[in-house]
Amino acid sequence: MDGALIMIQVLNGLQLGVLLFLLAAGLTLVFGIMDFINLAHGAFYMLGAFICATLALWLDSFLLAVLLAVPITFGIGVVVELGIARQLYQADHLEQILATFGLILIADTLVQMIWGPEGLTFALPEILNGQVRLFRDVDFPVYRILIISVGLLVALALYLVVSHTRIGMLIRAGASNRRMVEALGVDIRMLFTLVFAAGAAMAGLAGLMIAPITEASIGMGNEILIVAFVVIVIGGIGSVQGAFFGAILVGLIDTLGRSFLDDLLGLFLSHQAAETSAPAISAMLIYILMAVILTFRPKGLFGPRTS
Amino acid sequence: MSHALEARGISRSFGGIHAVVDVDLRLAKGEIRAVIGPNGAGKTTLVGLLAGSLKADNGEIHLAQRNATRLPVHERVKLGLGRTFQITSLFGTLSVFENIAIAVQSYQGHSFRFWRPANRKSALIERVHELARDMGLEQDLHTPAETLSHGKHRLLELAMALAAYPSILLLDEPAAGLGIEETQNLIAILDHLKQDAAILLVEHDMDVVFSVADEVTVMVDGAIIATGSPDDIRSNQRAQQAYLGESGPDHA
Amino acid sequence: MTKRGWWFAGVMVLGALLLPFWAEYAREPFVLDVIIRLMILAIAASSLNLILGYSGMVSLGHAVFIGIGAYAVGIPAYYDLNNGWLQLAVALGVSGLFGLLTGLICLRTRGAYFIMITLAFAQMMYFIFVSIEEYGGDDGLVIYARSEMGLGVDLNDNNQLYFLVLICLLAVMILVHRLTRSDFGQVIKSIKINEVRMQALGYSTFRYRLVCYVISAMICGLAGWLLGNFTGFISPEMMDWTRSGELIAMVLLGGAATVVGPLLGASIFIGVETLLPEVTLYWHLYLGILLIIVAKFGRGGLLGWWTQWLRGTRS
Repeated sequence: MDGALIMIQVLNGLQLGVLLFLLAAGLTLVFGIMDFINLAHGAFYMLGAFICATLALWLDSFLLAVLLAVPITFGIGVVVELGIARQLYQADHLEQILATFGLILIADTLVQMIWGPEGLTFALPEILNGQVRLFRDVDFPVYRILIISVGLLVALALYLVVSHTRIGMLIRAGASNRRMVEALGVDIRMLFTLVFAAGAAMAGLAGLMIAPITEASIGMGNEILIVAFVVIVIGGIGSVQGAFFGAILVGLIDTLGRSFLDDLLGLFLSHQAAETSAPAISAMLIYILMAVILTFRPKGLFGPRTS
Repeated sequence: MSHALEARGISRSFGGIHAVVDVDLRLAKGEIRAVIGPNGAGKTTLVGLLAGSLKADNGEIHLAQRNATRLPVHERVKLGLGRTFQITSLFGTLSVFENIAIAVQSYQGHSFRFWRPANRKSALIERVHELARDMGLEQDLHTPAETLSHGKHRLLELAMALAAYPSILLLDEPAAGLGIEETQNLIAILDHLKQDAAILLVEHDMDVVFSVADEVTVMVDGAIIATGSPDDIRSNQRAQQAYLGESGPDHA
Repeated sequence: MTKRGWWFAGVMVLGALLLPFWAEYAREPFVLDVIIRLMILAIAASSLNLILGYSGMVSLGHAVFIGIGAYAVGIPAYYDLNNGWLQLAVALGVSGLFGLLTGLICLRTRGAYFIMITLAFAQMMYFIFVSIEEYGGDDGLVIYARSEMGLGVDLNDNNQLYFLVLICLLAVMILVHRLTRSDFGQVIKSIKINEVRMQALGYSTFRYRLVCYVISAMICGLAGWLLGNFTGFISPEMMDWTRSGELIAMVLLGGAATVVGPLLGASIFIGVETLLPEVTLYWHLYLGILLIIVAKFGRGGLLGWWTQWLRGTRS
């Protein structure tokens, strides 16, 4: 393995990391504050992708499509919160799982009714399609750099909002003690709607950013959602910092494991054995990481410290 | 004389709050030790530490001559510990019979039987009836626990704690919320129980404390400030100020 | 169970025994396939009900044991090892072992963490099988021969497979019935209500929960073994987390913590899955709406509504 390849894979890992963060941030906030397990969070990821793809094809402008798709996903988040999610905050986790599982079926079917069973692809504008030279011989796609930058910017913005604004203060207070927020005389329902919709918008952003690379497809959010769950379990449910570090950690380990584990195992095992076992083991890595962390910290890295 | 329960220098803090500070405690069979003190003195934390539902930051706990400091709750039960909870902790939807039966089953030890129906063994049924009779719950055996009166909840708690013939009993405010008659009944039961067990009694009702306790320990802010016979405590200046005087003129 | 209940159960079993003969007579072999699938899912849902309904452990990864059971048919068959008893032993053994190992970690946690960790471990197995290209990876593996059981049994005969599945289902339902009313069952039901109290009574609740989890895993492994034989095709998709979600839906649709609930739930599920697509292409939409309604209003599932209704008409 040479330095250039490692660097490229680190960047790929970062890219996966920031996408996971965008999904996990909403998930962890919604769970931490509203005590709501939302299995359907991945639907916003899918919707972001489909809406952006459609707009990009109509308007023939990726930038415009992104600028419109994010607020639209936010709006859908508001509607879902007011219409359905709000009713479920008081329910127990089992009922939340059943209901949001139902929501997934509904969302996937609605997308199929609107866009058909096939996925939706669209091309990036020329300017984003190129490569940049990072080093002497290391080229990396411009667009992936953009994804990483946008993800980090959103993470930074979210961090600033959560730690330095009044809304953020309420969010943090809500995550640790809901009653306190109500005691402050804040309209907690507004706060819930805002948090839920912001989470939806971030998930939508993640989905629409990945869409040009993969495609917008039905159920695309369901698989990555589970990895986002792993992220928030590792980071500690309710913690935005935990979601960030968990996401980057998971993104890097997963990507690097898949690319280099066979070489690494090759140092100890026969080439044949390394070749066959590496894919299976690298698929397990993040789950092993999760198991190890939970063994020592049952509430995650940044979770509340209780006895 | 050997002690059924011995705590040496146990402490526990939550965040910056010192709930229990360097507490020493000894308890022998045939003895009722009452622990009194104002709300927030750390009495319930102390019970939790002794029972094992909370881990002590420092100190040692010995039960039946064995070091139990690191043992989990259920292992301590095996050493003869039984407890009741300050806030009634029952199986609300199950009947009184089933509540007591699950406690008896723990003692009689046949819980890894997967096929034969539960609650059919005569030894178990007999013991459940015996406990119910002792606590005056025989008429209520088939009532769901949650529909019982508060007084009977407390008695059912006690019946369950007694199922395993405990040699050490931790009772957290058993008299809380009881009527006069129920309280008298409880006093009689406690008097009877101490023949076979060492009893730690956390209690606010001074009538109960002074009629059954052999020794009284006063806790304030997590620490023991006085300990002695009921008469000693009644005349102890510090204890009066800290606790008995709570409703007196120097309460500010 | 009431006298009427026993009568009802008797009639159902009799009907189930006669079904293959009717199917042959009416030339509706498809019906038999649907019922076999239904019964296998009912076994899986019953196993989930044991931990979810009776002992309050909400697992969102239970389908992993179906996958393990199915691969216990597929992988030996791939090497021409078709001995059914061997495959069954592997199915039960490996699901039990996987349940034990993951249970040791999962059961240290509570609530939402438990839900997500069971989910994550299941997804781990999913990705492992996706990554093993030898066994077909993503595309799955065709099983060319059903388990050979000896004793004059030939599972290639759909009728015989049907009876095997029926026997397994009845055995599992009887097992769940006895188990949940035994000493052990009394313990796990009580842990669900008040775990702290159970510890204070001297129970090592972790151990009981773990044993219950492993038993449940093995029963679900049995369902997987049957499903592998039935479909003749296995793929990682069988243990996808949405399959686990469907199992939860079945348990809750029928009625959690009841012996018949999972069977009822599986019937509703298979009913919807079989009949609705004939009416509309978008039947998942209605299933989704049904699940939300059950979540919102359906405490106790269909069985719960039924008993409530019975009580209502009597008073």
